[in-house]
Amino acid sequence: MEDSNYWTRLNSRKVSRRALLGGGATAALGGAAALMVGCSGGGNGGADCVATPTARPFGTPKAGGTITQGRLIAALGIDPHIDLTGLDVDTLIYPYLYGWAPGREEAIFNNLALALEQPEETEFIFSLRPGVTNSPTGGGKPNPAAGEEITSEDVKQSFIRRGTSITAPDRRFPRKIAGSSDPGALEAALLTPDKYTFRFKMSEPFVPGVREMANPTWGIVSAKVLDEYLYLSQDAFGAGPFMLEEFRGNERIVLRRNPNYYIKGRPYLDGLTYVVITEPSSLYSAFKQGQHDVNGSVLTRKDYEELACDPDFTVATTPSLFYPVVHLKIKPPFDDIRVREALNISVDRDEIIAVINSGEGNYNGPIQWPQTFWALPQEELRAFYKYEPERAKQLLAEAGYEGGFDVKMKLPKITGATFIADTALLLKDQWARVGVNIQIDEVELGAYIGSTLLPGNFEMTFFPNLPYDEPDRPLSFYHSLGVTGSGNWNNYSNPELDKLIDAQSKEFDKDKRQKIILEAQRMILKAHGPQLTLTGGQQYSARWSYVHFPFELGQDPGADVNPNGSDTWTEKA
Amino acid sequence: MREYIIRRLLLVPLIMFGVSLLTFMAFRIIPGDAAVLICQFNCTPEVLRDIREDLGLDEPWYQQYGEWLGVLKNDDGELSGVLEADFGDSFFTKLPVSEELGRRLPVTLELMIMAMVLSILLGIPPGVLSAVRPGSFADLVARFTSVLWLSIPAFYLGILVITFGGKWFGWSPPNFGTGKTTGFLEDPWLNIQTFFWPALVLSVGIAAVLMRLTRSSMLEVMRNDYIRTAWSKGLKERAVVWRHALKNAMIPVVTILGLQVGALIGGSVIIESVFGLNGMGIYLLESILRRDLLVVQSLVLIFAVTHVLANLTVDLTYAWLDPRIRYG
Repeated sequence: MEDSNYWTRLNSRKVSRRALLGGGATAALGGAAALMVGCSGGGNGGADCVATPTARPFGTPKAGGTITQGRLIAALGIDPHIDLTGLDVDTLIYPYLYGWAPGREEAIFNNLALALEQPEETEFIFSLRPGVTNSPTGGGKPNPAAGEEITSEDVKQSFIRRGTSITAPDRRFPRKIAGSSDPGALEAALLTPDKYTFRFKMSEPFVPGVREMANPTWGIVSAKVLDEYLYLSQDAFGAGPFMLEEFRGNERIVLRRNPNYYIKGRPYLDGLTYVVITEPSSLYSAFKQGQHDVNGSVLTRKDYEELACDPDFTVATTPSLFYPVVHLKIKPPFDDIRVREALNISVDRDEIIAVINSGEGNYNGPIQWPQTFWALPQEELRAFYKYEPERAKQLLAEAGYEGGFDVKMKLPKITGATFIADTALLLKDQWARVGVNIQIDEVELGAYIGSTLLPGNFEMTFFPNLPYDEPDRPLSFYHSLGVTGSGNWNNYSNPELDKLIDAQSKEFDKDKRQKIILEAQRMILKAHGPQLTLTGGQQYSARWSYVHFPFELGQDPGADVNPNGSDTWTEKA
Repeated sequence: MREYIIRRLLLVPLIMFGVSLLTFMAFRIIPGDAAVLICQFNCTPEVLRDIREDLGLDEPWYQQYGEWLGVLKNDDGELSGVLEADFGDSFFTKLPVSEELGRRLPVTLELMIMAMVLSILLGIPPGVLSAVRPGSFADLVARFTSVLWLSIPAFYLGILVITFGGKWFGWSPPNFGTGKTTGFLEDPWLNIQTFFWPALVLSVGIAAVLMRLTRSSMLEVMRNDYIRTAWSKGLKERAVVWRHALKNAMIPVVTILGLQVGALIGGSVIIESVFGLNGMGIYLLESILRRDLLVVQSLVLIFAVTHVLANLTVDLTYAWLDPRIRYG
C-alpha cells in the first residue's frame, strides 16, 4: 500500500520543482527547443560525474575586485542589536569580541579581543586589541567616530544596548550577568578598568554565555555612534573589514573596503554587493548566469549534483541544523500520551528523509543530530521512532479515537521555504494512513508568529526551528517557562524536566553536562512531545570557482583565519 | 460632456476615502501586526506592548486613521498626513514612504504602460484580422495563440523566460540580478531592453483577452446593415474595416481594457518579483507580509487612483468613439 502512495512515486521519479518547470517549458516551446535542451543541457562534467564537495586550494590571494552575492530574504535592517534579518551583513561591518568554531565548540581570538582570562567560570576578563579603528564613513555619511579606536567603553555600551534593547533577541544572558533586567544593574556589572580591559562577573552561571557573545547580535559599536544614532537599522558605522556604502535592504546592499581596517592588507576584496531577489527560481538563474558570484538561493540535492560536476563552480555541503518540528498543544486530544505516541510512531521518518531530505538525513531527537556530542545516538532514536502504523491505530483506539480524528495543522508561509508545505503534506499523507485527518492551514509569517505561535493558538503546528548550534536553546522550548521565560507555547509543564534543563545551563563540566542533556532528552522522548521531532538533512552552498573562501560551509575556521570576509578573494578583476 | 467629467472627477476623492478606510479596517481585521514581527520570537506581552506604543498601534483606530490622513494631530502635535502629501514612515525601515514611492513608482508605471501598449499591439490587430478572415489560417493561428496565452500564468512564463533564456542562450534581461534599474532618460535603449521582457510577459494574458473580444465584437459589427451599405457603396476593405467597423467594435474592447488595469497592477506584483525589478508591486507584497500598515495604505491608495483614472479615461474614450454619449 505504502509503495503506491503519491510521495513515494514522486520521489522515485526524482523530479524537482525546477525540473518540472523545465518539463513544462519543453512542452510549451516545442520539440525543436527540446532537442536543444538535449544537446546542450546537463552536460556538466559528463555522465560519470559523482557529486562531491569541491576540494579547491585557497591559492595565492590577490587583492582587489568585488563580488556579488544573491539574497532570497530582504534585510529589514542592519542594527546588530535589533535586526535579525541583516545579521550576515553586520558581521562584515562591525568588530566582535571573538569568533567561534562550532565544531570544536571554542572561541577564536582573531577579532577585537586578544585574549580571555577566566579566574572563575563566571568571571570574564577580556584584553582588547589596540588599534582597531572606526571606518571613515558609513552609507555615504561621515562616521561620528571616524578613525577613533574601539575601547572597553565601546564594548560596555554595546553590551548594555544589546542586553536592554526592547527588541534584542534573547536577553537571558545579559540578565544573568546583571542578576536582573534592570539596565542600571547591567551597567554596574560591566567594568572597564582601563581602555583595553573589559570585565564582568556573572551573578549566576550560564554555560551558553561563551557561545552567546560570539553570536552576530553582539557586534561592538562605538559609544559615540550610539550617542548620535538611536537606531542603526538603515545606517552602519563600524570598525569591521567593510563599511556600508548603500543600504536598500529589499533591493541591494553595497559594502566597500574599510581603509582603516586594523589588519594591514585586508580585506582582499574592494567591495561586496548583496542583491535581493525574492523569487527562488530567478535568484538561482541569476547565479547560474553569472550575475551573482555567490549563490543565495536554497539549493536542492539536484542543483548541488549539477553544480558539483561543473568545474566552473565550487560547492560544499554540511548537515543542516534546521530542525522542523510539529508542536502539539497539550489539551484534548493531545493531552493523552497515547495519542501523542500514536502520532509519533505513525510518522515514517525514512520516507521523510527519502522525499524531503533527498535521501540524505538522519532522525532528529530534541537536539538536532548534527550536534553529535549532545544529541541522542542515532541507533537509539531509530529504535524509539520505529514506524508502527498498526500499533498507532491500536493506541488511538485505546485512547477512545478508534477510526482517528480530524485536526487542523497551522504552518507559516515563508518565501522560498517550500520544504515547509512539502513536509506538511507528507505528514498529512502519513497520518491519514492511521485515520488522523489533517487540515492544513497555511498562515503568512507575520500572522503566524503573532496569532498562532506566540499566543499558543493552535492544536498542532508545524514549525521550522532556527539552526542553533548550542544545546541549551532547543531544550528551552520544553521548559515550563519556554524560550522567552514567559510561558510555554505548548502549555506543557514537567517540573522534573525543568530542573534538568536549568541544571545543564549551569554545569561547566562538559561530560557532566552531556549526561544531564541526554537524560533530559530521554525524558522528553518518553513524553512523546509536546514537540514531535522529525528528521534533518543537508544544506548546500555554491559559488563560482574564481571566488575563494578561507574555509567551506560546515568547516571550522582555522586559528589563523582573519575575521569575517577579510580573507575572501576573487580572481576576477 | 464637461459636466460629466467634472462629476466624475468630484467622485475621485470620495472613492479614495472609501478605499483608504476599507484598507485600514481590513488591516484591523486580519491577524498579526508589524509589532509582532518586530518583536520576533523572544516576545513577551510587555515588550509587545512597548513596541505597539512606539509605533502608535495602541491608539484608537480613528486616531491612527486621522493622523495618517492628516486631519488629527500626531504625537508631535502636528497635522501632517496624506492630505499634505506626507505618507508617513515605514514601521520597519523608519524611512519616509514617499521616498520609496519616488524611486519605485516610475518602475511600475513604465512596466504597466509598456505592458498595456504591447497588449494592444498584440491583441487588437490580430483580433481584427481574425474577424475579417474567419476560418482562414490567420484566424486559426490567432485563436490558437490567444488560448495558449490565456492558459499560461504570467509568473510561470516569466520564470521560463529567465530560466531558459539563460540555459539555452546564455541570455538574461539587462540589469537582471543587479538590483538596479536604468532610467529612461539615463539610457533609453537599455531601459527599453530592461522592461521589454517583463512587459511582454505581463501583456500576453491581456492581449489574449483583447484579441478574442476584438474578434467577436468585429464579427458582430461586420454583420450590421451599415457595413453592408459601406460595402455596397464600393468602399475599399481598409475603409470599411478601419473607418466604419473598428470604431464601433472598440466600445466593449475599451471597457475591458480599462478593467485590465487591475490585472496589470496584480500582475506587476508577480512579474517584478520574477524579474527582480524594484517597483511598487513587490514593495506592496513585502509590506503586506510585514503588516507595514502605512506603506500598504499609501500603495493601495496610489493603485486605486491609477485604477480610477484609467476608468475615467475609458469613459472619456467612449465619448470619442460614440457621438451619442458626447452629445447626449
